[in-house]
Parts: sequence; C-alpha cells; structure tokens
Amino acid sequence: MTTSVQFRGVTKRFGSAEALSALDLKVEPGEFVSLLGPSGSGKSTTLGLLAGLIEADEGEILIGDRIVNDIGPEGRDIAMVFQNYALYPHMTVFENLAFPLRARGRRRPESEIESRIAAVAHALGLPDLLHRYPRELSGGQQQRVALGRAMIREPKVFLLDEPLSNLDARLRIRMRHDIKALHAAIGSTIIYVTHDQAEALSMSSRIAIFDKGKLQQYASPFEIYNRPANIFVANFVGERETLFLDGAIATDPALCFRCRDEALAIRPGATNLGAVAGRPLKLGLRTEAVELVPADAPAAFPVTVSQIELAGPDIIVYATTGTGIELCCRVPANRPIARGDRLHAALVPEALHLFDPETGAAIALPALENSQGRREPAAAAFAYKDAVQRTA
Amino acid sequence: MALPETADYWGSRPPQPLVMPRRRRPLLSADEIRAYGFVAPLVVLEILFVVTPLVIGFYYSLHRVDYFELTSFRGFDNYWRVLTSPMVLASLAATAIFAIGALILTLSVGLSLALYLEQDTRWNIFARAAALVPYVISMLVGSLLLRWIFSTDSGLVAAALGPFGLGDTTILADPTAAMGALIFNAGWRDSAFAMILLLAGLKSIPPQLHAAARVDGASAWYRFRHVTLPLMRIPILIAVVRLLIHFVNVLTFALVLTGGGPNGATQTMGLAMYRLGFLDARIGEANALAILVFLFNIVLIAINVVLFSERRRAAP
Amino acid sequence: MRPDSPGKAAIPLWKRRQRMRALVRRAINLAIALVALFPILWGLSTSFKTTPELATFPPTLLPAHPTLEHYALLFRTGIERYMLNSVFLSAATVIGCLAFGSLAAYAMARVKFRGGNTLLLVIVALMSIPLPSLLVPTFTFLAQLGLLDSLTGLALLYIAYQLPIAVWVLYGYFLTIPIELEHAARVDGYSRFATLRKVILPLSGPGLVAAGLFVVTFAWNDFVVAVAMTSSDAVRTLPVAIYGYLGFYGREWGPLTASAILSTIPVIVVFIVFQRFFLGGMTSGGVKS
Ligand SMILES: Nc1ncnc2c1ncn2[C@@H]1O[C@H](COP(=O)(O)OP(=O)(O)OP(=O)(O)O)[C@@H](O)[C@H]1O
Ligand SMILES: [Mg+2]
Repeated sequence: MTTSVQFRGVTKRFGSAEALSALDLKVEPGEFVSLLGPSGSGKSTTLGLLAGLIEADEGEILIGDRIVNDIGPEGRDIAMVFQNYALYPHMTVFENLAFPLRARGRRRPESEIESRIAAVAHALGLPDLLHRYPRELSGGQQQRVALGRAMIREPKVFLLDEPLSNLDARLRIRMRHDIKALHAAIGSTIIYVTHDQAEALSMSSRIAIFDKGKLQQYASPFEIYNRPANIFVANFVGERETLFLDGAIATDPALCFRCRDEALAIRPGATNLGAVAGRPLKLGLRTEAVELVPADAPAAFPVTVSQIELAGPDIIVYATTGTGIELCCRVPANRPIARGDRLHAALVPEALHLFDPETGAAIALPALENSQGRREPAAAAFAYKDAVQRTA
Repeated sequence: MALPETADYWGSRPPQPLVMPRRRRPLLSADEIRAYGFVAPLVVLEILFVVTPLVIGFYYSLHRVDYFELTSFRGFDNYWRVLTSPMVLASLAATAIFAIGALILTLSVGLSLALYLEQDTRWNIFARAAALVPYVISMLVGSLLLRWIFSTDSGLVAAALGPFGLGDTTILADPTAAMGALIFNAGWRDSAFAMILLLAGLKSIPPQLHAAARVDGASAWYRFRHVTLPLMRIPILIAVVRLLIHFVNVLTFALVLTGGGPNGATQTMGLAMYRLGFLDARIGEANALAILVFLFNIVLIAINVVLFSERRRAAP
Repeated sequence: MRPDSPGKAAIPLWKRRQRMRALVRRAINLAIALVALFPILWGLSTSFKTTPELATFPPTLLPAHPTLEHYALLFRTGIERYMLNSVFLSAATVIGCLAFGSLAAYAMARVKFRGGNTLLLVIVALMSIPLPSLLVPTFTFLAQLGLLDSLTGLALLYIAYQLPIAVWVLYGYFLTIPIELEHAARVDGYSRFATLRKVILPLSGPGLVAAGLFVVTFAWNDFVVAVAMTSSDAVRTLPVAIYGYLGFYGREWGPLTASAILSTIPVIVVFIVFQRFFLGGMTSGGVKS
C-alpha cells in the first residue's frame, strides 16, 4: 500500500506571482519527506497540487506512474491532514471517520466501516470519543481524529500540512513520535509540511527545503544540516542564526580565515581548505564551528566574552574578536566563564560552510588524499571538540 | 528504510531532464465546466426573465401595437409620442419632486437613526427592529394603512389638526399635501433601509479613530464632520444611489396612497408607465417609456456597481 | 468617584445624571418605535372596531367593543384561497431560489472560472434593477410565452427576480466556511456537488435562513408583479386581493384593515423570530429596496 510521487517541472502561478517554479521532486515509495521552508515559500501549494486542490499551470504530477494532472482530488486516492484539522463540525467523531468510506465510488458496507473505525479508534486511543462532536474535543483529540480520518482509508499517500502547529510544545513532541510510529506501522508514503525544522529533522527520511517557490535542497536530514547547499539553507536550518563573514582562506603563515583585517585561526583538521585559499568567499559559522581553546593552542585568536546565555546543559558564549566580529559558541555549563573574560578561540575546519559570495551556492572542497575524516566530518569535529573541552 | 543514493554530492540538484516536460492546462478544466453547470440555472433564468423581456420590449417599442398585435413599424415614433405626451411630462415633474423630497427625508432620517442607534444596546436593537417593520411588511399594506390614516374617514388628521383650526384639511385632496403624504410614506418605509446601509458603514469605522479624536479633545460635531463623514463617503453614496433607483421607479406608494391624484399631482413615472401599459393598453408606447426609464436606471445601476467594487477594494 | 456634597441625597450627582440620560434615551427609542409602528397598530385597532364605531368622531384609540366581524367577512368571501396562493408561491420561490442559488453561489465562492468576477458584478447590477421598470416588457413577453395569468409564470418570475439576492447572501456565507473543510471532503472522495450537499449546505443554516427570508418576504409581499401578470380570481395572491378590496370596499375600512393585518402578521412573526438573520443578511449588502 505505498507508491511513489513525482513532480516534473511543475509551475504554479497566482496571477503573475509564481508560487512554485519548475519543481522537480521525486518521493520514493514509503518515504517520509518533509517540505520545509519559511511562510509563503510554496509548501502548501506543493501539497495542494499533489492533492488536486490546485491545478498546475505547467509540468506533470505523477502518483505511482500515473499522470494525475487532470484527475480531481476525489480520484487520487490520497489522504490529507490539515493544520486546523478540518473536522466536519456537524458530524460526530464516528461520522467524521466514516465519511471517507461512504464516498461514492469507494463506498464500503456499513459492517466493514464499523470494524475499521473500531480498529482506528483503538489505535489512536479514541474509542470513548466516537459519539462526541469535534467542538467537544481537546486540540490533541481533534488532531487524533484528523489523523484517524486520513488513516482509515489506508491510502497510498498521506499528506500532512503543518498538522502539529496548533498543539502545545509537549504534545507536539509526543505526536511527532506517534506519527513516526504510524509511518513505521503502515508504510505509506508520507509528505509532511512544516516550518518547524526540529520536526523535519527528527522525522523525515528526506527534507525538501523551499524558498520563494523554489526548491533549494532535497536531501537527508544529515546532509541538510551538515552540508547545506546554499546560504539560504545554511541560514534556515540550525537553532540560531548562522553568522556569515566575507573573506578568504589564507594559508600563510598558518591556516586562517581573513576577514576585516583580521585572521581567524583555523585549527588543523582533516579538510582540504587550503585548496580554495585566496578565493573570495562567504563563510557560514554555526555555534559548533567555533570553540574555545587554551591560549597556547597551536591555532588561536583572542576574544572577549560579551554575553552568556544558558541553553539546557550548555551555555552559549558570545565572544567578540579584536575587530568586533561577534562569534558564538557552545560550552558545557559547568565551565566558569563570565562576561568580560578574555579567552582564545579557534575555528573548527570540519564545521565550516563555504559559499560563493556571488551565487550563494556551497563551494565543494576537492577531496583530500588519504583522508578518512571526510566521510563523517561532523563526527570528527565533535570528537575533536570533546577532546579540546576536556583539556581546557 | 534505505535512503536512495543521491548521485550528487550535495544531494540537492535532481537530475535535469534534457527537455523540460510541459503540460499546459487545457482551455477549460473539468472543474470549470462543472462551475458553468452550477451557474447555468441562474444565468438562464436571468437571461430569460430579465434580459429577453427588455429585448422584446425594445422591439415592441418600435411598433404600433394593438392588443399585442404588432400592426406596423413605427421607428422611434413611440419614443417621440411618449416624450411629448403631457401626461408623461407631468409625471416626470412629479417624479423629480417626489424622488428628491423622499431622498432628502429618507437619508437624513436614516443617517440620524444610524448615528443615534449605532451602539448594540438592547434598547437600540429594539428600536432598530421596530423601525425596520415598515420596511419588511408589504409595501402595498403599508401604503394602505397610511391611506387610512390620512383619509378624512379616519378622523385622525382632523382630530390632530383641529386644535390649530385646520380641522377640515383634506390631505389627499390637496396637491401639495398629497405629495407631502407620498414623501412621508417613502420616508416611513425606507428610512430604516437607509439606516441599515449606513449602520454597516458606521460599524466598519475603527473605534480607535473616534477614541483618538476624543482624547485629542474633538467635539462630537467635529468628530462627525472630520472622522465619520469622510469615512462614510461610499456607504452614503451607495445609499443615495439605491434609494434614488427605488424612488424613481416605485409605483406602489402612489398607486395605493393617492392613486396618482389629485388631478395627476402625484402620478410618478412608475405609475404613468403602469397606466399606459395596463389600463390604456398602449403597449408600444408603454414599452418605449419602459426602455427610456431603463436607460436612465442603467446609469444609476452602473454607478452602484462601481461604488460596490470600490467598497470591496477598500475592505475586501 | 468624588462623593457629592454632604447633606444631599445619597446618590451622587454624576450617577443621577447618568440615569437621567439613560431614561431620556429610552424615551427617544420608544418614540422611534412608536412612529414606525403606529400605522400598523392603528390598523390593528381599526380592524377590531365595529362599523358604527369607525364612524365616530373624534376617533377612539382602542375598540370599545372588539369584534371579529371584518375578519369573518373576509373569510366568508374566500380570502383563504388568496392566502393559499401566496403560500404556494412563497414556497415555490424559496425552494427554487435556494436550490439554484446555492449551486451558483457555491461555484462562485469556491471554483475559479472565467467570468466569475464579471458574474458577481452582474449580480450586483441585477439586484438593483427596479421591478416596476420591467413590468411592461415582461408582460409583453409572458403574453407570448403563454405564461400570463398563471402561478407557474409568476413563480418563475419571482425566482428570477430573487435569485441574485439569494446568490449574493449565500455567496457571502459560503466564503465564511473554512476552505479546509471543503478540501478535506474533496480529498475524502467527494465530488463538488456531493461536497456542497454533504458538507457546505449542512453548515450553512444561517446563510440559507437569511437568503430564504429575503425571498419569502418578497414573494409574500409582492404586489406590482402579481397585479401586472395575473388577472383571474383563481391565481390571485393576497396582496392583489387586498388591492382589489380597496376598489370593492372603497371606504369600508374595517375589512380593508383586517386584510392588511392578515397579510402583515405572518411577516412580523417571521421577522421577530428570525430578526438576527435578517440583519445579518442585510448588513452583508444584500438589500433590495
Ligand atoms: N489562493 C491563492 N491566491 C493567491 N496567492 C496564493 C494563493 N495561495 C497561495 N498563494 C501565494 O503563493 C505563495 C505560496 O503560498 P503557500 O501557501 O504555498 O506557502 P506556504 O509555504 O504553505 O506558507 P505557510 O507556511 O505560511 O503555510 C505565497 O506567496 C502565497 O501568498
Ligand atoms: Mg501553508
């Protein structure tokens, strides 16, 4: 009960504005794909096109190997969960669940409807609520009914449009877990729209990142996080804003990043940064790309602590360099650091993201000969980071 | 589930097909065809019973008609006859007096009511509902009841005016007073209609504007002049146009309240047309007059549509 | 909250002023209601007066010896047949307008089709066409169709005249129903028509009531169209019959006011019961003079 889904050069315009430009996207059978992007980036449009609620202006949409462009939503055999649940207010939970099974052309005998509802209600913990109306349910319960209504038909493709955004934070995390379990159990292809990156990173097999109607990157969560394809993705993914610096890599006298008359030292590592030395580029720094090192470390530059923030088990240290660049790094909360402290920092080569300043696209480094670190650069970086922190 | 291998290092660029597949939308989508089916009964009925009669009426207006038999082509002769007929000209004058008088009365009472009853208190809602009753009941019945009040038979007028020495006034027999009664009838029935149109406009003025003006020390009159009126421009214009369309054409008031009398003093155009067509059976001329009146209406209707679009643009 | 000067009444001055102002307002509101309702109340009172009492001067405010003689006279002469005609016409018009109206309103509110926006403007224009200006041409046309002097012809005209308003009110109402409900039903396997029937209409109670109210009051109240298009007794509607009484009874105001009250009571009852919907529909712009 699963199928692939494909967009081929699909464009959708509202008036003269392109809500979606020439989208190419293929979702393999059984995949869990998240569509992630800021508001208005075209996620819901993509979902609506697939559901048949919106008509494409150009391109082809395939479910399995059938082109569905001119098939209405009622003929596409998909199920959808909406942000506001869209439960029919004039029907009880039972009637809501039965509704898809009573549609013309796929009508089921009442006995089967009842047994299926019983099964779904049991799976979602709804049996006691079947005779209530949607307005008599809590948000979480409504959410479950909406999921149940989508599940009950055992569709090949499941579409979820920000299904969790109306729930409180804790419930959201639990439902995240439940949806993943559901996916494991039924194995349908799931396409999940969200603008919450934590949801996308934790649930998906692949993530498609959208901005202004264009697909920016389509890859596994690991790739998305560790190898963002362009500045937009690097900036969009990550718990806080990525810092971008214009400058160039220099190898003389030691490996460093030159920017605003300052040389930010890069500690040695298993990357081939020297290969792009001298080329103007944009450097993207997340917290894990900066670390505090002892003053006598081989690569270090002085910084002054300007602010400290507690973030769970860690603290986020904001540190200013001599020329006023404000960097930001994460250290365990038990380290005694105070505002005004003068410390030393270094850049972590494996966690640096390099972009072309003109196009914004990521710059791929040529492979490093006899390297083992390349396969899992982040893992190497983390290992090194731990070591440094232990010594510091 | 195994992740599919991405050939590209960054995993971002899907393989580009050599030729961009193109699938343009067909000229009419299935959904669009269905939509036309859904609006079809509406369109057919309106074409059949609103548009066709006008076309046929125009055709008839060019002919001499004897009891529905088209006897000869007359060109615009019917129009000429209508426009030079003393009865029609008199009715034009009566219509002008009536429409302007009724418009002024209705609009000022309606605006006063809307301003005075703006707040949704229980007593205001009650007064609004009561004011609307003359509007929701049959126009015929309303005029009939007013005729009873104004008639000498009821004795109400005599009883009310007796103390002023005007006990034997016969309102409906005096041309000026009858026109006054006709205008009163319009105001009595349609002020609440104006009130509703204007209330909707008033309610869409953000209350903060008034609050801000009050804090700035503006008097009630100043606020009305400089906050309410400018923002009510379109609702007031809409009310004016809609009332005008109504007053220019209405025939029930005059037919029932005064019968057009005394001596044709209150015979408005709607009534003249009715006379011409249904009592004198001069179908050709009646249709000519109807077409003329309709052309005039078209202008007002067009203004109404423009105002409507403008209001929608201001507050969608 | 400054207390008033000591020694005065316990109620502070500002409070007494406030109460005074509220009382004055209520009195004005009552006066407004009285002016609006007086002709109807006066007609009601008249319809219960005996014929001799009607001729007394000065007129009495309330009937001294309330009587039903005028009503009895009307029913003896068969007014109930005209009322039945009006009921039938009202029902047919409401059914036709709501059925065709919800189809059209749904397509306009939910389907994007070429000409949709133009149609909306045409509907606004149609709503403001004054009926008296259509009477003569329509009469000419119905005569050719052979639909003159029939309830069918009248019902068709009423539906055509009221459809634009019904569409307008329903269109406004449908727009307030969350689009996701519609999407959900479509994805659940329901066609446009089935979605309208199973999801949109069951949720449109207030919109249907508001539209129905406009239509039904029009059909019940209409006089000009009916008087122009019908002539025989068998298809006479209540307002036409009342107009006929005006000629027949002349200055006998007992039966005349009684017939006026008979026409008015159903409207006022409906208006009181559904007042909320009336105003809702009217403020949405769908008002016809
Ligand atoms: N029916 C419509 N008419 C006109 N423009 C539309 C319509 N639907 C969407 N758009 C436009 O298309 C663009 C993409 O919208 P879409 O709903 O796909 O965004 P989204 O990524 O789902 O955003 P959000 O996170 O806010 O839901 C937006 O600029 C939006 O304004
Ligand atoms: Mg969206």
